Amino acid sequence: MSEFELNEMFKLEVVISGEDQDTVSNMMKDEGITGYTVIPNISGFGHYGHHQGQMFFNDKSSFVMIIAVAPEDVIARVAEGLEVLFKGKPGVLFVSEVSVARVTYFS
Amino acid sequence: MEITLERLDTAKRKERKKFKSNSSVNKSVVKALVANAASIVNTAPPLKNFIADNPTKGFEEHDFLKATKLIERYFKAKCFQGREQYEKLVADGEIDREILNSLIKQYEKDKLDMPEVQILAPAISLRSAGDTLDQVNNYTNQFCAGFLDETESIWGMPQRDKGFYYVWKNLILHDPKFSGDSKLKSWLGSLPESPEESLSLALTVLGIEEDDRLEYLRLSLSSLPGWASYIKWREGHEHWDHFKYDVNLLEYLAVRLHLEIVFLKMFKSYVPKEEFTGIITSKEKEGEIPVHVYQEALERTYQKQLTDIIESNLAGQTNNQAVDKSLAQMIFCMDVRSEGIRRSIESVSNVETLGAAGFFGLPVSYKKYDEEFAEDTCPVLIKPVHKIEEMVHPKTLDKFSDFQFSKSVNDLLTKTYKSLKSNVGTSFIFAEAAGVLYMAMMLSKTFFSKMKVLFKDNKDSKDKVYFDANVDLSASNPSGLTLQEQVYFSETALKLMGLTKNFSEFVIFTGHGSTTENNPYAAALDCGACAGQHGGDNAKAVAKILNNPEIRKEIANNGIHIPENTVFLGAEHDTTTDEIEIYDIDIVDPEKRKRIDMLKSKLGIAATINRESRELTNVSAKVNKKLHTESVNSRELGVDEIDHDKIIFKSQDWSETRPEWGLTGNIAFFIGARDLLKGSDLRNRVFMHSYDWEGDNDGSALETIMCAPMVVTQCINGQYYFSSMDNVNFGSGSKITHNVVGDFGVLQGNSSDLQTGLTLQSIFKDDETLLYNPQRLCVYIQAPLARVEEILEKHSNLKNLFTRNWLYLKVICPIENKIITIN
Amino acid sequence: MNLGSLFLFDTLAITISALVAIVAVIVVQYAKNYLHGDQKQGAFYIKLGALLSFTWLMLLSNNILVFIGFFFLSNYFLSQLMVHKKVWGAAKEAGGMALGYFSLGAVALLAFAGICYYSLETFTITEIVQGLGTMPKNLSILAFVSLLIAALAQCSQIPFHKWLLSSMNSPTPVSALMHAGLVNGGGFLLVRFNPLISSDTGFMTTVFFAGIISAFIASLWSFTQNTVKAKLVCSTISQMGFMIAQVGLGLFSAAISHLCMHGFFKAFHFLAAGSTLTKEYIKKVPLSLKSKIFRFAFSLVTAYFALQIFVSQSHIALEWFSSSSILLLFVFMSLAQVAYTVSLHLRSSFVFAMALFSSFAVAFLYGNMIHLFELLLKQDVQDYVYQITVWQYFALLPFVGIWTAMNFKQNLIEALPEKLQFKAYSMIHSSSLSPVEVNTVNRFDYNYKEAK
Repeated sequence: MSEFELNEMFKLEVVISGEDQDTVSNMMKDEGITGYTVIPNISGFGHYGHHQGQMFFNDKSSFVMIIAVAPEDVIARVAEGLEVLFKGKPGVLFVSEVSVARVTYFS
Repeated sequence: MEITLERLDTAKRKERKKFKSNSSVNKSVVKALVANAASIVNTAPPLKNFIADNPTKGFEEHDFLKATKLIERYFKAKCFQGREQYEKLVADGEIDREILNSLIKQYEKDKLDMPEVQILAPAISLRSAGDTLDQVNNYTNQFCAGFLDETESIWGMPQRDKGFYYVWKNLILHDPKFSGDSKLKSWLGSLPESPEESLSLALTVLGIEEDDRLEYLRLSLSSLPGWASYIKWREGHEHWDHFKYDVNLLEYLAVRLHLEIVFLKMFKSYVPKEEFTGIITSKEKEGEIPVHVYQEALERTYQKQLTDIIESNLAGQTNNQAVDKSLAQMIFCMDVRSEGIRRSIESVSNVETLGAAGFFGLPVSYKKYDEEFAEDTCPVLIKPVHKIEEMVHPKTLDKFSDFQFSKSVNDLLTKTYKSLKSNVGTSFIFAEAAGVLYMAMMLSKTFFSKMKVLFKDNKDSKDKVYFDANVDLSASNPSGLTLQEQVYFSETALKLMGLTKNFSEFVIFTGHGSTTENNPYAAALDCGACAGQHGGDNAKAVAKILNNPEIRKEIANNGIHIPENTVFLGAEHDTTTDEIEIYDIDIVDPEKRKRIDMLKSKLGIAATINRESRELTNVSAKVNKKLHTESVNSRELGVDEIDHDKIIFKSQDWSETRPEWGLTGNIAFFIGARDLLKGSDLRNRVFMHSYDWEGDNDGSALETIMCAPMVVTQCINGQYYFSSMDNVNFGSGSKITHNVVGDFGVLQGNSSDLQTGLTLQSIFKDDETLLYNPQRLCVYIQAPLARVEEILEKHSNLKNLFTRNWLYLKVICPIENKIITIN
Repeated sequence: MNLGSLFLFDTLAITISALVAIVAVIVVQYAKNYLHGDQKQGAFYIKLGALLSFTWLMLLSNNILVFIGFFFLSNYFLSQLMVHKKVWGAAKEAGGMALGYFSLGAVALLAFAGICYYSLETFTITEIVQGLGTMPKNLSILAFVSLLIAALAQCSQIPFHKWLLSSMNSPTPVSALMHAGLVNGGGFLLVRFNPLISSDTGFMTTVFFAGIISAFIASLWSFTQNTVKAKLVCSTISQMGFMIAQVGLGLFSAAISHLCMHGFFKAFHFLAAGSTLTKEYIKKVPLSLKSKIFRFAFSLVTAYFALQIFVSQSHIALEWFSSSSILLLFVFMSLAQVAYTVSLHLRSSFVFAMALFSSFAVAFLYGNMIHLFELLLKQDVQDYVYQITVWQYFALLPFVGIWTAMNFKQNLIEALPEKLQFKAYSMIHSSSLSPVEVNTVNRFDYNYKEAK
């Protein structure tokens, strides 16, 4: 039986329009987030009505989800930026506390 | 396994929810602010990749009418024609009085229900005004041209890899015009390195409140929309191999705002203009009919004409569909220009024509043999991941060395010419020594250019060498397509246009492109589905894929049986001359060759017919005023003999500013069977995509057509609409004073905002007269109503286009056998 | 007064009239389609007709006052053609600015005429030309200065260059005609009254330096230009500078030949200014510095022999400290450039033979052309070759230096320290920019439609 430690971090999940993907990933990179996960072509229902994920021959109108984990202050800055972004763009943001292994991967 | 986890108590958690950032400027916030502000302009690509796109895309979140009010406000632009023009249209009968009257009634009724449309106006105005704003804009124009040009100047701006903002900061520091200003210099020296911090600082210095910042940036971008939209495009194409230096709107805004500070200080003319105009209301003069009602009446008049045509065909439609087998099936791009040539071909031969997006379903980029970079040949909505490379066809391999030789001689001449022309010591003697040659070239281009031009003509040898498309994935082409991908794409292409059975002997994918001389806007006349490229290459590639027996076998497994006798061919329709070139080098069977030669001669006749039909647009104003149920007879219009040489010559003439009309006049997108429009002369004004509702049980083909081609037609329509309504703000103005900048754009005269959108000559017959009155697009879909509604429910972005009145929708429901108007 | 004294049909006037005629025929035909549908196409042709008639009348008139009258009128119509549509503020401003410089030129010419009349008591050009050499010194200086100002303003030379840098609001055919036509007026003036300049080597040297400075600075300007037309404009200023420098060297027929040939060259490039987006891609061939030096040395030797061919064909003497040697140095650089580019580009074994051949061929053809012009103008314009000082050679140093350097390193500037790069670029580029009032600063400032 081995024993290892998990560290507290913050997770940010954001759903945005495909055309804003670069903006958000740039924000993350510039704040020093070393990695993130992108889930393209997601479907769902919400404030803007239905949105279908896969659209053949149209990459632009899709929605994507980006997931990133980082220390609190980093997530805070990105979240603040996203708050501003959402004043004019569709999207939702979830922030939660998570525990991660391999902490060096996240800072 | 034991997991140790430090739990937070609730109190601590609550505290944490209120995030606080410690640095003074949060870069993410600035980035987000700019990203939001950027929606005020759409992207504008370099001229070589011209794609028609709605310049007001950012306003599509509003109802059309409200959007026009906002656009008028931000850009000082016109979104409708003048009242007098509309009144003239009513007098001429181009607007149906009945329709107009009923719309007026409706309008007055609505007015009682809803008092006034309220629109939030820009709550703030730019700090600089008058002369100061002129100085700021002038500097921006000249600086952007210098920074963004990577090819024209021999001595470009230094250190551009360090960014737009960095270069500006250093250049203005050494600008002789500001050399005396030591205050300015010390201030410039103190500016932060990061553009985000700098932009934030500038906003503070200018005294823009937190709440007004977004609006201020929007105003700053709308001040020179051309540069802003081009930079926005470049931002979306970071690290594109065509350009060395990247640029983005954040740095652009940082520079612009600092320029305001610089010039405000200089001229001390900072007078805060009256701000917060607050709410503007769209008040119409009492008793006057607003122009938008006229506009809608015009649109509905044309829709009625088209609906009538379809209805009469719907009524006359009988079940004896089984016509004798056609000589060939030709698939054209859904481009409006295909309407005429399809009509002409059908009138002279037993050829079935279909419409599809002109990239024929291949999301690829295409690298021509003699070009440096691969160009995307698919709609802008798609980011291509695959690449097709050109290779020499084995049959013409023997001619290849000749081709290479003539190319190398040509390269040598070009190189010698360039090195002599652009060096300080040699340009003088060169101009003098070569003067006679230039005189000869000018004379021949002006008076004898119907003969082949003397120089720069390795076209002949190139024609002899035939280049084939190499689609397969291989070691040398790691971005090629795998067999599975080829199956998937080609099958989808066939399914989308409903061509899954009854294949003819020849199935010809016909792409299109234009041929023009001395025309920076050449790409605007090429295929929009191929991102401003010619469509013949994709046609060649898809034909090659479908001729592969292995692929046919795979496709047959999925239910599409292609007879062995059927041959797929690529072809290209030259929209300037109407000639169609078929790539038939692989046909060896003499019987087949005979039949293909026969087809070619038929196409030659069709070209003549279509040229005449197109020329009528130029010579008879009457013909343009409505859609025609039957082919228009030129004799009836009193038009004399048409000079075909003259039309063909337009493709070679270096002084021609109106070689053809492109997609001018587009008013409708028809998705359905050809039969419903067959025989009628729609004056090249309707996009046509073939669709077989019976063969598309799950509606997936229709869903794709609506998600991609339909969106594209709306973009194109938006471009033509706004460029026509206001050619200064949303168009490029007259070609006669154009000045090409870099290899990406055009300026008006000495220096100006980057000109984006269509030129005056591409939509106006003369300075005052539009060829066609611009209209919003009406989409006709031949499919069960429930299916259309279901798709719209799934895609709110599509539905919004209709509910917000950017598009009209009419469903030709085969179940109820009638046309249902949705909006 | 008979007709003979009113008009002057000498070879100089006829040669330049012919140049204008050829370009005019092309421009008239070109504008038929190019300006089709333009509100002002009719007005354009009327103004163009006026401009051409007055230009020809000016070239052929033998009375200096009549000459100045036509000179001003043709310039006036040029400025009107430049404006084309008054609703476009920037175009109107640019036209006004040009007219200002043209008026300055006309006034300077009037002063010149006044001085000539005061001294020679005649307004007849042929008589003035004959008498210019005999003018008293102080008067001839005054006459020279006014003539030079008129010529420099007309040729858009520094410091009278602003109007041409601001001329790109004109419709393309107008630019073509302007750069092949009236811009050359200064060259015509200087050559027409050349006995005045050749009466003193000081005058000659002044003209030479006035020209060569513009030739050099405008060359640098053209390097930093990012629009097609701005590049052509800077190139014209620089080419006109070279032409005036040729006058300053006493090579009058070479100057006229330059003026005509450059006219065709420039008119073509303006009319084809929409073609720049269709550039062909040429693969670059990387070469080591050593092999570059070897090829360059070879080219210099080739050029030396080619120059002998040129000298034998053109009949321009090769002699140190003779003014013509300056021109020969430029020819030498160009011949070497031909050989060098060919030798760099070709990979096969007969590289050097090809390089040799092309350089010789160019020397032969070009030499003959110069000679042709000399024969053509012989009876009315005689070259005046004189002894120059070492200073004139110094003026060539920047040309030779930059020419050599550019052949070895494409991005010469990048070798400099960053600060210097910014400084140099800023200095050169900002002095070549058109001023704010002739630019279309706001998007909506542009206008193509005149209210009826």
